[in-house]
Amino acid sequence: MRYIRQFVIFLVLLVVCGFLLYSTYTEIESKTIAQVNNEQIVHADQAAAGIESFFRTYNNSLSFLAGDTHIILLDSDGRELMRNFFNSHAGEISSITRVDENGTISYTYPIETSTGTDISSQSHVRQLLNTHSIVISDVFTSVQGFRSVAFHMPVFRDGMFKGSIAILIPFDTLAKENLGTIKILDSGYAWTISQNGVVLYSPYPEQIGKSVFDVFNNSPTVKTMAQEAMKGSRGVSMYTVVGDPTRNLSEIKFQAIYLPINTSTITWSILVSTPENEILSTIQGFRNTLVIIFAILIFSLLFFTYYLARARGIVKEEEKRSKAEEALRESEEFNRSLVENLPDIIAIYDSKGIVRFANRAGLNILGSPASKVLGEPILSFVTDYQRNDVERKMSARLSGIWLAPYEVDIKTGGGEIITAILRAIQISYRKEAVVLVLMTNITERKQAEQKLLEAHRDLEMKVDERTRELSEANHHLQELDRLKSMFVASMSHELRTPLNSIIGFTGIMAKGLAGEINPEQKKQLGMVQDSARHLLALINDVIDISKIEAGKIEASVSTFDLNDVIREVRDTFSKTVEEQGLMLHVEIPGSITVTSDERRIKQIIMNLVSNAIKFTDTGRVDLIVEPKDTVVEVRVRDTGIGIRTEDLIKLFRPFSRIAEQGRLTDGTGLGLYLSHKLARFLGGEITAESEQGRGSVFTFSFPLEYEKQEDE
Amino acid sequence: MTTVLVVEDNEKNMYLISFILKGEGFNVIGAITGEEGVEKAVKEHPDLILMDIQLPGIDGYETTRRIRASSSDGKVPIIALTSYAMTGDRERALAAGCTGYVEKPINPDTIMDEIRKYLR
Repeated sequence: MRYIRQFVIFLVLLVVCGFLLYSTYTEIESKTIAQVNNEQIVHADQAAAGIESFFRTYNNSLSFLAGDTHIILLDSDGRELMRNFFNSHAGEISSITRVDENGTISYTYPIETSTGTDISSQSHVRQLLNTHSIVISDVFTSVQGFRSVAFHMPVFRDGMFKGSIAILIPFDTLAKENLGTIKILDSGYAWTISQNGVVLYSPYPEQIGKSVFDVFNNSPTVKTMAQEAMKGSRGVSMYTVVGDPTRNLSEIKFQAIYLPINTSTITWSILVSTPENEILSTIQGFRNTLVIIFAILIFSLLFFTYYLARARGIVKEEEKRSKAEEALRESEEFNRSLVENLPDIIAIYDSKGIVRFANRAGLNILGSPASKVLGEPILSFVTDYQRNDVERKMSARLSGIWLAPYEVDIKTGGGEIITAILRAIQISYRKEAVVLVLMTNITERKQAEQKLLEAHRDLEMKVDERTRELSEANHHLQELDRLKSMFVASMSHELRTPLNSIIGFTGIMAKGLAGEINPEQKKQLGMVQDSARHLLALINDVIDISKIEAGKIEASVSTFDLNDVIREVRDTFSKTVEEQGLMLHVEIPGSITVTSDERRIKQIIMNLVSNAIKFTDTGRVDLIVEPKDTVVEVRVRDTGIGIRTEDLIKLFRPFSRIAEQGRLTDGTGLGLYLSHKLARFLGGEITAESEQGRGSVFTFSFPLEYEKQEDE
Repeated sequence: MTTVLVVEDNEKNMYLISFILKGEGFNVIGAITGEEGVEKAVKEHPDLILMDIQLPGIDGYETTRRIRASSSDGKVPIIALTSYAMTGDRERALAAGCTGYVEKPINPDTIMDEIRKYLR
């Protein structure tokens, strides 16, 4: 690609030189041709002049004869005159003939036997008979057997046309005299055509007497030239002959000139033709010289462009090299600056452990002064207590063993000891296997790490201490919790015993077992008993809750039919429901065998139904039981007052009785809280859905088979 | 005359139960500790024993076990007086050899029906 420009220059120069040489050649060529043509014209002019003078001479002679009475009458004197005339011109004419006004030969000499022959059929004779003027024929074969040109001079007697006095000119002879001598180069030749286009003369005899259009019927250029020549004009032309049989050539180019032969009556044309290749062969030497010059030029150009290209290439190489050198220098400077400005120590030591190179940081840190680093054994900078270890590692490194970066304590020039991370890489330095070491000062980091470690240790100690404290506190709390549970348990017993007495005695008294009482007394005793029972229920709930919370509760597991429990619940509330004018509807699909704490389950369902009834003034309470796989769902649905959404979340908290204006709040406030706890304890759950004024649905679901809970 | 042994440490409860039972025409023997209960059960041969579980000293279970262990009369019906919410009271009572149980507080309306159920 990069030689394209050179190649283009080369081509342009080549084309210019070629063109110059070619134009020179063509100019020479055309000048040569012009010169040849000029020569041809000169020759042709001379020939034309010869022929013209010939005809002029005979025109005079025949005019004289035609005016002679003896000739007109053709008496013996006339014949005598004709014989004499012929004899005196025997070299030039082949016969002299007197033709009568009918075209019949009246007398001819020297071949007198032809006398009496009618030649009126010959075209020129016919012309004569028609025009009564001078006629010069084309070449034809006369009755005498000559191929000749006839020259007829009309003869008149007293203005009457009396035929002609004619001579036959053996045109060959005439032409040979004038034209045959014309020889241009090797085969340039002259030829003649008549105004009718008949070849009058040619060095090729077979052409004579034939029409030029027939002879050269394959060569339109010849025809064009012939037509031009037949008009009597003169000119220069070039024509191509195709299939010249005489030359055994398929095509041959001729340079030709043509000019007219003007006599009084005819206009013939002389043509001189020379084969172009012959003309050109005269300048062949010149052409060869040109070709050689051209070849030399091409080679010179080739060399020139080659060297030009090479020179350019060299220049470019040079530029590239200088650029590369520049880049290399910059890169080297960069590397040097990198190495020198690095705060880490970079050093190279050889196989003997002698320091051969150290960067600025290396010199400054290790040296005291800086010059006392190079040439020193690298081990001299290692602290005494680590020297053996490092030496071992160094020899390992030198034998090609890869080593992980390790920490090393280094003596600085200033007498300090610093800790560094040392990395060693085996490299080649000035064609010698050496070790490159990179040492990063990590003293500060080490100190920081140490501090961090101490802080960490402190922290751990504090955490341990706190943990211990917490553990103690926890232990204390557990103890407190146990005490509380014990307290609650014993307290409840202590509280319950007097209550039992109160309830029992009021019962006896109300029954009249201890003597007659009046109705008012009975009513009031009933109130005492109710209050005592309420208090007992409260205490029982508290005991249950405290037991659950203390994890002291145990399930009393038995296998029973849930149907029985539900029936029991229904029976318990049937009276109350009836009194309140409500409807309790129970839905249960046959018997459901449950293995769990029957009393607790009954307690929970009782609590839910009791709540439902408590908060429903009109309508119904539905108790629906539905087993689902391994659990059973007990839904208690009422048409009661419902629960506000914000209260729903408080539902399962202790003493969260929902304040309701004008409503009897006779519950313990622990019922749902306890039920919820118990449900969880049995591996179940209580959920509530409600909308204020639209009733509520409480769903208690629990497993058909009780499994001891780990966390409750 | 049917004799009922009541083992009960609380004076008022003892009075309450005795009152009801005597009102029904039973002969009532009281014992206020487990040891006394065992002693009287062996000596007096009651027809039925009402056993409070929460007793000072040896409790109702232990007392029941001892009565059952004594050769004199091991088949006397012993009805445990249990408190609500004391989980396992009933099971433990039955395991210790009690024939049945009645929940405190005592209901004068129903207690007699319960007792008569267990009398031979």
